[in-house]
Amino acid sequence: MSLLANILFFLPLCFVICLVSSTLRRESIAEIFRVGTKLFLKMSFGIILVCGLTYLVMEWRLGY
Amino acid sequence: MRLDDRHDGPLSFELGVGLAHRPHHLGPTDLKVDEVIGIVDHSSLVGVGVSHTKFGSKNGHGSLRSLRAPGIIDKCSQGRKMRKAIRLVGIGSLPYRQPNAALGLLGRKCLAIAADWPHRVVKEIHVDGLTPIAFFLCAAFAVWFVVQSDPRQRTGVLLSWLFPGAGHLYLGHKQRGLLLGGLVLATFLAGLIIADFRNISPLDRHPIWGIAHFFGGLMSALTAGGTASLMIERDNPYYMVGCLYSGVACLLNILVMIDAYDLASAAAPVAATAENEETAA
Repeated sequence: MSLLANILFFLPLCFVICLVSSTLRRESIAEIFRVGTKLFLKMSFGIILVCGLTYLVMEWRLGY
Repeated sequence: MRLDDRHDGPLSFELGVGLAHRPHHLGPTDLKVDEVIGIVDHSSLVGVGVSHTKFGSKNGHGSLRSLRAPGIIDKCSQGRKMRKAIRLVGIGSLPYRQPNAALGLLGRKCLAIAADWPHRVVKEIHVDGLTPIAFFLCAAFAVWFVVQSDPRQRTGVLLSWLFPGAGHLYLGHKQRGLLLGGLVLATFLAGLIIADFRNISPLDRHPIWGIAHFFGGLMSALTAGGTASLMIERDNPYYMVGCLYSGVACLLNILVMIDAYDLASAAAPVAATAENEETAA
């Protein structure tokens, strides 16, 4: 799979996970969407950053 | 076990035999350019490496091993000679003056073992150990839940397990139930479509994912029953993505059940207080 396909498959699933996990202990739907979207942005940025750094370290140390 | 003519539903035969695993395809990622010798028009000295069938696992997912004859020595540079020597003799006899090369080779072997581990778990351990343990833990948790919960909590969680969001509808949270049920169901259907409707089969195709599909309730059971006769006829590159989507949707239903339990627990004291007030009046 290409990098674009990976990202396109990852982002919707990550968004759903963030939305469902942010429903616990929250009352209103608007708050759920607000917290879930914020969590999705943070998680996506974090995962993509960590993956990019891991790739660069592997390329530097192991020659992949 | 007995099979007769025109026996359309040989269930015991299906359960006893199961489906064979597909062969592992040799793809471009399994090949690696070994070394290019500095001689023009002599292509036979260009080698490739393939998965070593005797390293790390039984199914060919191990380190790379050269196909070329070991007598060919590259004379271009000292570094190339050392790399070739490392590849031919293995890590056990590395010279002490090459720590970087040793670390690199160790890293490659660790990565190969780490990449191979989930495959070995899926292929070798699931039937003997992991699946019975998981089902035993689920059964123990279910018994504990039935003993300590009240009927409203039990009904809410059971309905949520049977169909995502149904417990919320039962508890009176219509919008929340529609949102959660819609998200879980949409993810589950997306996984089905991506995997050509052939990824829900708890006991034969994917025992590990079957543990996750257990939490999908009726959604998983109906899909498994409806798609059991479909055979995998083409190599779908996104098949595992479909498995991931459907499996994650079923696992997200655990959160939906917990939310239903939470809402039922929060509503229970209010109802109890109202009953007490009526009794006192």
